[in-house]
Amino acid sequence: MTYTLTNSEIIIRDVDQAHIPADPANMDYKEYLTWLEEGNTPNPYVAPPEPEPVQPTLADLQAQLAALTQQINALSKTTK
Amino acid sequence: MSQYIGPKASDIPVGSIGTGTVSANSLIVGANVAVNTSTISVGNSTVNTVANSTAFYSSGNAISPYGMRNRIINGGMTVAQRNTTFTVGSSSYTYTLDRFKAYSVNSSTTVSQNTSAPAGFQYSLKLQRTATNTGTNLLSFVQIIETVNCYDLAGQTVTFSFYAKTGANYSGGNIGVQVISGTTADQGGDPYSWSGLATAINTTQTITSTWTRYSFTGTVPSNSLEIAISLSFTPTGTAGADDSVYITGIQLEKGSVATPFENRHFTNELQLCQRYFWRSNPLNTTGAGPAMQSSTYTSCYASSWVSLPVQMRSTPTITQNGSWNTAGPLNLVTFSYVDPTGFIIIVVSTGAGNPIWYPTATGYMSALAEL
Repeated sequence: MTYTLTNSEIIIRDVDQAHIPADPANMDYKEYLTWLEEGNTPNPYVAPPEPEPVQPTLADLQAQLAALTQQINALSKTTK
Repeated sequence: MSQYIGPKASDIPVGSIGTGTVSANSLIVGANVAVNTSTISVGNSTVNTVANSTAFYSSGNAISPYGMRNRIINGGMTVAQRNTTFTVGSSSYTYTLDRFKAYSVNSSTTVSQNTSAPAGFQYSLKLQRTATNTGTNLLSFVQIIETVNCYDLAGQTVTFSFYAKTGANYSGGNIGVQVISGTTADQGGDPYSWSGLATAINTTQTITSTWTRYSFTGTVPSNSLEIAISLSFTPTGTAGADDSVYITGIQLEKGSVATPFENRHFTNELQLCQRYFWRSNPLNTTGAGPAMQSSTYTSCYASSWVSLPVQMRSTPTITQNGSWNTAGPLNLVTFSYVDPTGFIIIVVSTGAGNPIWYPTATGYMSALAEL
């Protein structure tokens, strides 16, 4: 039996990916505490990979350009 | 013009009738009526009077004369959320039909929900040593009663009753019958390892191949904070085709009398079970359960609260079971903010697109807060 830590209080039981809360009344958590007392160490938390940066499409860029152009035109009118 | 017909109900001298009979199509009683006999015949039925009822209830069954006498949940073996057949792990407890867990050192033990049952019951639990197995260690199953549901039994007389029969090739001797107690609230786990372990009932019983109801009475220690029932048998030789015991109608109640098994509505029984175990879609139903889909321009973080149908005994363990479909830029599915009433599913995508996560025919979520 092995366990893996998460970025919260929840511990993952590796064999079935069960999410075990840190509740002393929870039987699985009791088993985990016993497992720790036996000298075992859980696997460290590994953050999921960062999302890939999104590459804007040509349509996206054109839409952004159009919006910027509108803003520039509006500002030009107010500063005249 | 009014006409007086017969005496007023409050004036009927019932006590002076003796063994006589009052015949009427209907009798409207507008006041208390004192009855000086032990029984009243109503149609073809005989009804105990209060005097006899008091004697019955004074045996200790008076606490819950109107229901919920039985401290055992799913004693009729009707609720099977996890499955209907189980292979019991060697030297460890395996949860089987709801609220019952089985134990065996033998490597080949099964528990199943069986349709062989005594009159008035739909199912039994079948505890079986698999055919041809040669293990001769004890097979047992237990149910642990939550402290809050047995606190009042400390120091009290209790009666344990059940229906049982042997399988056609039963190899064991008398079955073991135990009511166990401990002195720590909701210690759970293995009852035989409890602090302050004591046995209110510890005996054996010969059973036959005919359905029979058995009952046993004992006294729970006054310092008890937790109770479990246990039934077991020890097989011999090599297992035949049906080396098993069938059990149903399990009841543990206060008092020295085994009252009739308390049949509850299925919904009530299911809800009692769901305090300890819940699955997102019923057994043998497909396409149900939580699912998430998101349309994203960039990477996303979507979450959804799942509300449990019954507040659970403790903060539950959440598990994604079986097979699930995933599609699109799905990065991570996790469960967080778990409490006894629900939990949050969090889905993280890797980028733009439609991350999708939903169960296949075998997929389901479960929440476990057993003892």
